[in-house]
Amino acid sequence: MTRHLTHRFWLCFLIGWGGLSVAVLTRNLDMAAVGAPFLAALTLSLIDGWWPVVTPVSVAVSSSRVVEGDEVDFTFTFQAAQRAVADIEVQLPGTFEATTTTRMVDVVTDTAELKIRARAVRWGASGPEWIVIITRDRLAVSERIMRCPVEMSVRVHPPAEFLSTLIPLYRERPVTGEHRSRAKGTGSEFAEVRPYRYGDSIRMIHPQLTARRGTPMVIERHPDRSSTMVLLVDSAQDLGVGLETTLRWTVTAAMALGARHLQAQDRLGLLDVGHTLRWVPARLGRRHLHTVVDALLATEVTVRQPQSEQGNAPLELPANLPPSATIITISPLLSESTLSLLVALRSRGHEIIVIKPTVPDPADDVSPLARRIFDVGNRLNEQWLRHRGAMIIPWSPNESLQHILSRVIPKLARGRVGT
Amino acid sequence: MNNLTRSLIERLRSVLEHIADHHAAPELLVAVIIMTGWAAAGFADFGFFAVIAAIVFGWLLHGVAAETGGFGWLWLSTGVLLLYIVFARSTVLAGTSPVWMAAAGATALAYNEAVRTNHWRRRRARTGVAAFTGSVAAVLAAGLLGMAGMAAAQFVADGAQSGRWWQPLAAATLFGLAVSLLVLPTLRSPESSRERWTPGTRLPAPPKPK
Repeated sequence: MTRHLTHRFWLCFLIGWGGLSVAVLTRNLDMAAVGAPFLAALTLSLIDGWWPVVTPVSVAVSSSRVVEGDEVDFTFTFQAAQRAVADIEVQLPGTFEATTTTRMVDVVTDTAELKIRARAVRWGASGPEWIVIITRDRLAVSERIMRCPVEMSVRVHPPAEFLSTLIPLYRERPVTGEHRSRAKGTGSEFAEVRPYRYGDSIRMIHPQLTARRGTPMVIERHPDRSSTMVLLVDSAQDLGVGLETTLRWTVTAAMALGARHLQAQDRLGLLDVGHTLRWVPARLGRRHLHTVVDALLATEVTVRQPQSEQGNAPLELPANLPPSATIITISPLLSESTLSLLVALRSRGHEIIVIKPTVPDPADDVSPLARRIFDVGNRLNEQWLRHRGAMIIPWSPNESLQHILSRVIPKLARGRVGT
Repeated sequence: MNNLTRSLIERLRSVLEHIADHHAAPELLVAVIIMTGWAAAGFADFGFFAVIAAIVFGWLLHGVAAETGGFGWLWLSTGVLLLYIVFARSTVLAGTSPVWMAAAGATALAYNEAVRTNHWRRRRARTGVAAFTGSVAAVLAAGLLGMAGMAAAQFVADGAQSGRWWQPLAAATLFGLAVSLLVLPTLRSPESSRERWTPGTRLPAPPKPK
């Protein structure tokens, strides 16, 4: 908070003081008379009370969750200790675009309200950043500038698609789910027909088959199992312009995959790998989906710490990362920290599936040589990871993720693609 | 009609539209009338062309002050208006009492206030009517108080006859002292800062709560 004497103070002071001085020197009241209203303005504003205070009381929002393109109303309420002219301006983040004015000038006697309508233009979790209140006395001789940070966040969801395909089961949990287990037991999916063996329950004998073949027959089924999945989101970089960026695609894909796997009774964790590491432990349920989605919406590219502070220490994996978890990575595979973390996870025995969004085309002024070097480096990274046993699914975000997965998953279930 | 003429007409039309959009607000029209009136009054004795030149110069300064929203230009145009009033003292205000000069000073204050309040509109603020009416009332009050003060000063000066000039000198000294007492603590206050936030300047996002 700062307070100032405005230009009006100095104007009144100079003209009033100057008029008085000239009047004294020339022994004529005329010039003092010209300055008299200015002196009167100073006196009146002093009587009115200098440096009045107007403070924000509350901030309300019409909806705390919206989808990109939706409009949201913010309502700010202010309170004045004394009657003051308030010049109020609200600063919105880049994720919102105001459709009404964000500034108000009015006399605040008791309370005042400012309503702002804004369109969510980009995904994320953010809200109004600052309220700047300039309060002046009625003749604007003194002013107080108050900058108040706003702690409010509206979650803007990118439009995510609904998936019907699941990433296949590599290590099952002994809990019923939607994945077809390779083992045989009680379930709904047909596995094989075999003769009755010693030790089988009599209930397992299939009457029709037994009657047809003349010997006791049993139908084996695959049990439906669940698994533990960890979404690894690469937030080390955000390449692209506007809405066509790698981080947006990453978050969109992670949200769709997360929702699908939680629906399939899988335990789901989230590992956000940027220049630091954020970990949401694996859990089940609809409530956990909200936690994961909120964490995904809060994903952003963090500023790299200076070398002296961070050093070259590799990112440490969380201690409670389930050893049987399948790691679904969504990453353009450009960051060294992400690559080394994936190798570390693979060496611990985790199955790693990488969904690799295509990197948007660079600007025209990038030389072809630089582009080639970038492509070669990118391909080497991919190969390096494949040799360590990771499965990489290239994904052009113009194409539906469901379409890609439904094409690739049957091959994944049998073995590995692209290795 | 050739291309040059067409483009000139288009340009002129856009300028006129701009003036209609941004310079037709009531408070600016009041300011223009004040500026024109004092330019005409100040140069009435210098001939027709001097009057026209003074009006055009006043309009130009006023236009720049309103267009840029800069306080420097507002100071300059108010200063020129005061100069016109000083010139007018030898014509329309010749021989009048100091009360009329105080009224003239009040119009200068009104001019300054009118352009300042117009800056709110220029920045697309939602402006309450109370802010404008409050300004008008404040300027009226200042003008009336100034005029009353000058009437009182005139009365005292007439009554004294001998003209005790130590009185205004003492008043000026006391006024200067009082203002210094107000200004100095303000400037030395920890809340005072030279870095005044200019409306519209984007601030870096506040740190997120952990």
